[in-house]
Amino acid sequence: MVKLTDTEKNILRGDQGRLQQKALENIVRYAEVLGAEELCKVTKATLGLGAQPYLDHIRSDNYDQIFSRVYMCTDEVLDVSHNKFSASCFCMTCTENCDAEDYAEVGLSKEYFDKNSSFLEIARAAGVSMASTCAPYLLGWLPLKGEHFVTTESSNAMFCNSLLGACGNPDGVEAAAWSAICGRTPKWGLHCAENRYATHEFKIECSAQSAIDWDVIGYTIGRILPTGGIPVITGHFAYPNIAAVKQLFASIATTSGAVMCHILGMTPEGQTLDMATGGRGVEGTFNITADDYAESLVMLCDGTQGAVDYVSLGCPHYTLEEIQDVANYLADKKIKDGVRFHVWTAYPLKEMARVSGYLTIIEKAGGRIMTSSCPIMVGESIMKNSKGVALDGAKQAHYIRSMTDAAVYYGDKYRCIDAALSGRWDS
Amino acid sequence: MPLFLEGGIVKMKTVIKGRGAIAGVAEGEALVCPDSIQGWAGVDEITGVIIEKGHIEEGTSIDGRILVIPSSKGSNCWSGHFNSAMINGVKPAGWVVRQIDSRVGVAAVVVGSPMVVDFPGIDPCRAIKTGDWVKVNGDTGEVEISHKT
Repeated sequence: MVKLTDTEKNILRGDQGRLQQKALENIVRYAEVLGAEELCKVTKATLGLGAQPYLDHIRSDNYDQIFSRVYMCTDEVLDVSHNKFSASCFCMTCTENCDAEDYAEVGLSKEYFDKNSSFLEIARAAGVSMASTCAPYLLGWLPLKGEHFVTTESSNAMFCNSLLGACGNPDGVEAAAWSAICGRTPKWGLHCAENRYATHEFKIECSAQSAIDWDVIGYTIGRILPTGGIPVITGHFAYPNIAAVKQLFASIATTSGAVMCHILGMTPEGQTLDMATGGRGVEGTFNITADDYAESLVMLCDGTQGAVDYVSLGCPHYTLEEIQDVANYLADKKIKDGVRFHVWTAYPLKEMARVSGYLTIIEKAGGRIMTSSCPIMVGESIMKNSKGVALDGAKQAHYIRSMTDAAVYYGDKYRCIDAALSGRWDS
Repeated sequence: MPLFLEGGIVKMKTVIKGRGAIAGVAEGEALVCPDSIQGWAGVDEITGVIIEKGHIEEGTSIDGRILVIPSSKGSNCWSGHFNSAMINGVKPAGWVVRQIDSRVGVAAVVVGSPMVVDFPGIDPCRAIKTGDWVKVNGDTGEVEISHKT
């Protein structure tokens, strides 16, 4: 039985309206399934809204009906269009399935673009801010230590739990919406201090210098990490920078269910091994060797060499510093005819890239800065009839294999840019 | 291990006990996924067929099966893919989950099929084999396994 506060009882009674009532009903049921005894207040949310493809399964143009069925899990048509989400929870949109402006470049129709815009307009009216990024922390969406958040992006959950000390579980699109509407989530899992300790140690014995090193390390840790485990990373290495750490977190959350990772001495709850494990020690220790690293690379990058006609960088969305790196490397070079070259980021950062001059350099070379989405979010249409795609994110390289028959190549941004310049991936 | 006769064939039956998470009783053929199923690009949302590359059950549909998994894996939107499949009329008849996590918890609420979770000292992914006939009782937490011989 979940213990509720008086405010929660009032919401459940319908005092704040049927939408809030239904959202809390779902949260209470979710809490019962988990075995949670109480709820906690959520103050930050990122949400998968807009015309996400899973909404197409509802044959309707009525957003209230679509939202009610897909997000609220009811055939009752709730009035979403005229209701605000929780006043105490700051909500932003997560990645969408289309660039913010250019639907044709990603192979989508104007009809889809207009539908997406109209759905987002309803979210805007409900009080959701438009951000459309997997890396909202780059835009100031920052739940701090002890703050409870929900998010539809696993790498964001990993970032906020691990690096910021905020508390959030990987709930999913539906529960994130319930929480954003009623301002509550079950007090369970990573919302409780006793569940945030490391269970398994990963000693780094391979190269751990570049963003791609940390990407591959994360992918490897996720492959090895036992179910329900939380890693603590140890070894002799320089702390990963922002580019490296966001790739590390994205790739661990790709091959495992973990959304928290301690980096010994770096993350706030992992200053010492004793602190990271809560004094309990770890259940197991794994060494990440050069052989493990190589094994992951084989899984991520096709062993053949061949033509490349689509190159995508920026998973998670690039920081301005990473865009600057691309611009510096691309200056005075020309991407081969027939190769499409995309750099993905959030649109405020694209604007910063424009005023900083990086956008001009990238466009002059024949590339594009794209926003609000990524290849795996857009889906098959972005690959068109590609023969070879090159990517610098393990998460992209992992998932895209189920979406295309093209050869999938994976390497750091410089190797991917070289492939864009030559139109080839050479092993 | 108790034996019973079905269609002239001697079969073995075992019962394992966990915690009932979603009430109700369901039975069906087990589909055991010891490495779970990834969220993104894990299950085809129209057919329910597992599309995860290299998955032990790649090409098999989850529809009408008792899905036996350790927990979830991958995307935060894990539940969403089962939600979409359910809207298209495809869903597991029941779930057996070694250790519940938040993604599974949301999927449980969304799909609503009987679910038993959290088996102390027992790994249902080892106790149950794909093809076994399994009865999931979400009221009592009992999972009855009729082993395929």
